[in-house]
Amino acid sequence: MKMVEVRLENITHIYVTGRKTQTLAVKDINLTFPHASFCALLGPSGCGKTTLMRIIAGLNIQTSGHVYFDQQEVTPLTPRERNVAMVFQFPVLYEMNVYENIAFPLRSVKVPESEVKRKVKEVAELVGVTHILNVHPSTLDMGSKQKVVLARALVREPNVFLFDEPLTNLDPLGRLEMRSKIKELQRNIKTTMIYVTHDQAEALTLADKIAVMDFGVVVQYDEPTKLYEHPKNEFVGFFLGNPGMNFIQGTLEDNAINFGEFKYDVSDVVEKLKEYGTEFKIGIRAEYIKVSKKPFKGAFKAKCIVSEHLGTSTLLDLKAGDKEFKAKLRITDVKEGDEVYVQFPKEKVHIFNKAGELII
Amino acid sequence: MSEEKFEKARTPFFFYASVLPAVLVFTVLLLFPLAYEIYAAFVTREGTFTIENILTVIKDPLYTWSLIRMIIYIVIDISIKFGLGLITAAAFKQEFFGRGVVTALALAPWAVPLIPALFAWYMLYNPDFGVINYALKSLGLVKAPVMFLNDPNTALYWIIWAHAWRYTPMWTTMLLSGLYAIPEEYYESAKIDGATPFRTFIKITIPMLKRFLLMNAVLSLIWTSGEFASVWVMTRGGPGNSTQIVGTYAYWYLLFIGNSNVAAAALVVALPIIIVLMLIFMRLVGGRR
Repeated sequence: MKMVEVRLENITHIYVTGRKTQTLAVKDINLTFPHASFCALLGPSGCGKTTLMRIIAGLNIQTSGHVYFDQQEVTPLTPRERNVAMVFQFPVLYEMNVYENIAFPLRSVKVPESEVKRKVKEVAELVGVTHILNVHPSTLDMGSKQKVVLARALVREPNVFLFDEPLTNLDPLGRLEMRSKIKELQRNIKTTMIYVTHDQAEALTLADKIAVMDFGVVVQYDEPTKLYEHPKNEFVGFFLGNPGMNFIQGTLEDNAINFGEFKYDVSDVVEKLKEYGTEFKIGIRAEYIKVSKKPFKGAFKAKCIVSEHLGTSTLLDLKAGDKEFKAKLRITDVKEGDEVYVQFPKEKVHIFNKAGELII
Repeated sequence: MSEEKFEKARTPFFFYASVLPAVLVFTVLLLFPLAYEIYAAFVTREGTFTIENILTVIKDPLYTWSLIRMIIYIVIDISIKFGLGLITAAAFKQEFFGRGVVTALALAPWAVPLIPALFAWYMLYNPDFGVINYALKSLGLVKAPVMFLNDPNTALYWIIWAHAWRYTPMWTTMLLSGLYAIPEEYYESAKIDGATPFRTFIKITIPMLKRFLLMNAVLSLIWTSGEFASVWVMTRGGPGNSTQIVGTYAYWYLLFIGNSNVAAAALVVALPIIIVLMLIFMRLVGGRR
């Protein structure tokens, strides 16, 4: 199996529907997915991630731009010629038994029967469906169905493996199962994998690199930890994480950003900030906020509005003046209505300008 | 109706009273005629039990041929409807200019009243002033007029064509909805797997239409087995009894020979054959079911 580097150069795609209705799906995308990496395309519905995947697969030909597999331009090639495999949102299984389903791609390109038999058996063992080769897929449960789908995708030894939100239609238990199956696959098979999802937790767990998309453009393309800790803008910060990053708007006064009831000291960077005006937003993740029932140095007062118990942690909705934000704590006995003391640790705070772009 | 009144009314009486109209209709229109027909086949005019009617029918070579022709009729008819229906359904699924108009035209045969439609085909087939012969002669394709309905060897097939033409739209609509039920992802998956459009059609589309095909085939079988109008309007069973099928045989026996019991027998004997054909169809198309 070749491990291919997928490179997108200036990809723009416009959908034309009906009579002259044009929709810009993706604009000027430049991305490189390295050999044998697992990369995710993450974003809300309509951001263009599925379009991009279909362009890589060859199901849609981009309006302009180039797609390269290693150094070869694959734009004129059919999906089969590109040797991509795709796993859809629901298990796509043909009306034939499991063996024939898996054999289908090989038979479609006239592979000799003896070869077919060998390859199907090999892949069936790998995925764990040898015992159901003679069964019709309609009798199988969801998990087995997806396994057959994987087997059919693997039997062709694809260059690139594409996943189009495969976990969306599964119940939470099924989702966890499939997620570990995919991780296992990732370890065992060294193939370039591209995974489309709107679930940030999925992307954070599975991917080596994530391209966060919104409205047809790539907002930030980086490793999960970097995206999580250093989001480029408000969109990325809020989209990733559960809950998303807190963003609190304030005004620069003297050496601090004023939020009404409390201030945040910025004396060390105040000169740089002055270049951007006076309105700023600070971003801090819920799990990094220090909360205590007793006052401590540097803390300001806030009131607990909602307390959600999430099993191993508690999510608090806190309010100070007219500013609201969430804090996530391990063990706490803070209840709704309590007064608490809050501090934002400097090393975890990011400063954004009014439009939501990262400055520091 | 208020909650309490509804609960109080849920008595066995209410239940039976509600289904009574449906049961009545069912009994009167379906069960009763069927039961009476079977009864009539096994009695003489006076009402005594006899198997004479059955024997008369079985021994009559004209009847045997009528049965054979009925089977030929059904098989060819369904093949045409299936083939044409599938092709037109696949064609109509795509967007093309004038799609609405063409669809309406394609569905027209079904909407037209039966007897006038059959009569129209009768006129078209006419060797002397039928439009088809006129066109063939003008184009220089034939010298002498083609004897569509007048040739005992071919008449049946031209009748079958007219009948199939009329009912194909039913298949087209059914198959079209079946086609729409297939998610796009199946075609995309097949494309990625490298299957040609033809292979995709045979191995993926058609198997997924199995349920629709079976339903249509069984319905067609039942309706066509009692076929009468197309033959009667166009040839009355001629030329020389070459187009007699079970339906026309029974009618002819009833009207010209005047024996309603034998006529009933003719239909009753055909019944098990139809049931066997139905089972064969279900095996062929249904498979697992």
